[in-house]
Amino acid sequence: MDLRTVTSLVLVVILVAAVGYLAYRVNQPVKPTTTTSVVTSVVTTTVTSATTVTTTSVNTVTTTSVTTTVTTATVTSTATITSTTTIPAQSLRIASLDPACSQILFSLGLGDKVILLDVYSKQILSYFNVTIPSNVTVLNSIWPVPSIEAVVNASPTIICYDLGFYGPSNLASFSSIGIPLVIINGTADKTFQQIAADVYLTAKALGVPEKGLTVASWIINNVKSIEDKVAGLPKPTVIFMDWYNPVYSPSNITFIGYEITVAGGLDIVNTTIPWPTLTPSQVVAYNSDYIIASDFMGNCSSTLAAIMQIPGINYTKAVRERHVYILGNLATSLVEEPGPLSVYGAEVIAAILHPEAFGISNVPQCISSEWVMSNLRPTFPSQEG
Amino acid sequence: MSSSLVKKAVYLLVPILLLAGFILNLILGEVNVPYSCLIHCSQVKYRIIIDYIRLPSTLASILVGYILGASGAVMQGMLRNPLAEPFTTGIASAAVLGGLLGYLMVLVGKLTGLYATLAIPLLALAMALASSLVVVMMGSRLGVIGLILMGILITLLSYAVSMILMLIIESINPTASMQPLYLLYGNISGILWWQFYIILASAAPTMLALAHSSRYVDLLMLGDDVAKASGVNPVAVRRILVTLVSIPLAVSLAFTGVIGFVGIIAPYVVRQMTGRGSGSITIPISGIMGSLILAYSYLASRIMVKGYVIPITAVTGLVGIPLLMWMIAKGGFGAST
Amino acid sequence: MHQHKVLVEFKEAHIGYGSRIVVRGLSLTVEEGGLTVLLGPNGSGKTTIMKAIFGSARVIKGQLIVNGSVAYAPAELDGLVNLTVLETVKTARRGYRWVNDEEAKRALREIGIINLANLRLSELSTGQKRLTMIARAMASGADLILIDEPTANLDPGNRRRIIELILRLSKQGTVMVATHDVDIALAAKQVVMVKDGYVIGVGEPNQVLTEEKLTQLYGIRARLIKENNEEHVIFPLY
Repeated sequence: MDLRTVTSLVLVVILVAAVGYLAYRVNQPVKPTTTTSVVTSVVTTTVTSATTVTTTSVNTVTTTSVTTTVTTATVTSTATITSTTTIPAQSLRIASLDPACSQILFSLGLGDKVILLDVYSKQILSYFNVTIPSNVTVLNSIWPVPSIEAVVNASPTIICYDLGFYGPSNLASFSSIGIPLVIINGTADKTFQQIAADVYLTAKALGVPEKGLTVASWIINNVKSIEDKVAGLPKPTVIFMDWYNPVYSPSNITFIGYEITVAGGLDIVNTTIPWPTLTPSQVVAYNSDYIIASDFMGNCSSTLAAIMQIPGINYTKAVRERHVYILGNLATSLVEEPGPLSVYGAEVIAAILHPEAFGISNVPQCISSEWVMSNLRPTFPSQEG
Repeated sequence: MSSSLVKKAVYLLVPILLLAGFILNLILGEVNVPYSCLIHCSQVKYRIIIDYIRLPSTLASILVGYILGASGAVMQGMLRNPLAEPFTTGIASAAVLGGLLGYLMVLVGKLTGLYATLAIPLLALAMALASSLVVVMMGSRLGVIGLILMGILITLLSYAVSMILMLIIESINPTASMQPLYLLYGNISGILWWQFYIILASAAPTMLALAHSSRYVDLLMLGDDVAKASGVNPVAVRRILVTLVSIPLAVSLAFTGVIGFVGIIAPYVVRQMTGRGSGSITIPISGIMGSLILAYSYLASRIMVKGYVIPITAVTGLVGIPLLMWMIAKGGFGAST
Repeated sequence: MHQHKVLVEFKEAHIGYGSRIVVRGLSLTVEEGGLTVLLGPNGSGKTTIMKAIFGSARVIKGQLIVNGSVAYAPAELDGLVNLTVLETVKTARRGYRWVNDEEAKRALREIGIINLANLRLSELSTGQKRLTMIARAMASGADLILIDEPTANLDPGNRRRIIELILRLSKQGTVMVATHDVDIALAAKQVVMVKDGYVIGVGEPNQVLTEEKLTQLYGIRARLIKENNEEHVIFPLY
């Protein structure tokens, strides 16, 4: 053999060894903590890439208490708990990494077990006067990922990880610290059925499956009641905006598009890809009846002024008929963060599109938190008992 | 003989291509407008699209392309460096920093209504001009290297501060995480008529002045000693040239964001095509070449992938970099200067 | 005798860059007309003296009076320059204006490189580039033309042509040359010998260019040969 062959062979061997070692390291199951009983739904992590994570368990949510057609909906979800760990419910210490997790945990009545959450969760929960444990650690930043050190420092026994928000790439680092994870589909949920499945599977994983069924049916019932209210009404077209230059919009294949449909409208941005950037020409061509925007400039008047900067916007039906609505802080959270509270997100949009169906005479252009609370009177699922 | 004929054909082709690009930009895009609408349009929708959206943005692409190409030629000649570009002075990253600062000011609620929409371009403009001022005052005294070095330092500093600003913006408004980044990528489609006029007003006198200062650029190419002996202060001339370049650049950066590669490709192509390096040729023709590149890049950015507006910088890079590679390989690096 | 106009006068001048002194205690007067040669080995400071005249080097101590316009032809150009010969010449200035086409072409014709007018500098040989820069200096009509190392890196033919051109120019105007080439110095009106930043001799060639002085200047044995009324300097190997 000549030198070149030997060198390349050695290189290949080293490479194979390196890959093999890495694969071995990564595939090591998270160290089981020695505890007993209760918890269920066991999926051992084989985490490294998207493909391994989305070993989506196909679940059938049978919310038997609800008599809607939704009950037998087959839902793909990834609400799974990692490791063979089982933890007694009373000693649960849960770290909730984002609002989707927090919404689910608090609606399941596990709020008192939460020992760490992020500032955005705290914000939205505070609107609903939900009791947050006083000794909870609040993460002020979760961008681009929450500080692992802070999470470890809070010594949770379980971590709620939103795969839809943080993606599979950060999962490896969170699963490497030896604390079991509840992985929810969360931000990636596209329908209320998927949210309900997230809720139920989380409940099952944490040993409160009955509570999960209650909340899941609460979600389905609320959605049904919105759909009933707007049934038969004309469906106005909507463009939802998250930025103005270029226009950054979810399309009707995203969760927001779905909420608009539930609310008796139609997201007219019918691209085949989610979150397209639209040029002003497209906005004019779509010529939607309504423009609904998140408060992307931080305050309502600035956001309105920014939208009016889009060339040709003055000629769209929405602007001519003054059907431009800016969602305030609370409304934006309700609409844009998929979770049990998203039913109110759909309700906010429904109230904008069909105020008469909700007994509202006048919807302001700026949908403030106060307006949402006083007109829609949303309640937190667990508060209803 | 035949090569000069080809060259003549190319010169004739350029205006035709520019006109074709202009017309294509008006009718093609994510919304296709019927050809007949160029003359008369019965559908109001299409008239609005052409009159209020595509006409100002297409004209802006041609104008900004000219600014980028011409100032690229000025910078490369003045700095005796074929790798120099309009943003060598750090003006682009400073503008991005300013834009982010403007957005942050809006977010923390200090600005409302119309002020909010003006905050981003105004602060981008202010930061761009401020960075140029620093480069002009401090960098040019140290000669060509000093100017380039100061530009690099300003770029790095701006990036450092921008990163922190992004984090703060992120924590205030997590739903608007990606959006300020559009400042980095360049976007022409949102140009309004008044914005186009402002860019035009800043570009017309400065570009005219630059076209007339081509001999100063030529003189600087022969070295600072030769310039000094001719009674021309190279430091002062560089200051004036950087200032002339910076004003229209800062204004267009404020409205369109950073559009890369045009300023480095256009002068290169012109030097290769004409075989000439004199500012009298490279400055105006690089400008026209820049217009051509940007007009077609703008078109491509809107029709390449359905549903997405590709950032212009990605398109100019996609077309420009391979072109540059090919030309370097073909022409040898020597011809690049 | 007719008093010539003084173009440049150094009085006890220390010259350098920033705070670094390269040339010390220079006293020198350049009068109108004829050729002044700054003679010395590489790195002796002769180019620095030249640069002081147009302000590229700084007079740190002492005094420098420049009375008239100058033009400078460097030995080399920084990097590749893609200007044509004509464009290069047209970067010359006459007072406060650029040289026009006619003046530029006249200079090229006078030097005999009008046929190169449309060639690019990057395509030219070293000698042709030097001629172009000298033409550029000429076109400016400056009172004093400064030429740096005109014969470095040239073959004998081109070297001879450049020397002849310099002699011709010095008959029409005032020329200052920085060189290590003794042959140019032999034809000068005034020779300034520079070594390690000090002037070790100023005067007419027959006064200064002695075997002893040249040996001191270059640090090797120099021999002066007279032949058919012509003087030559050689630095014999043996």
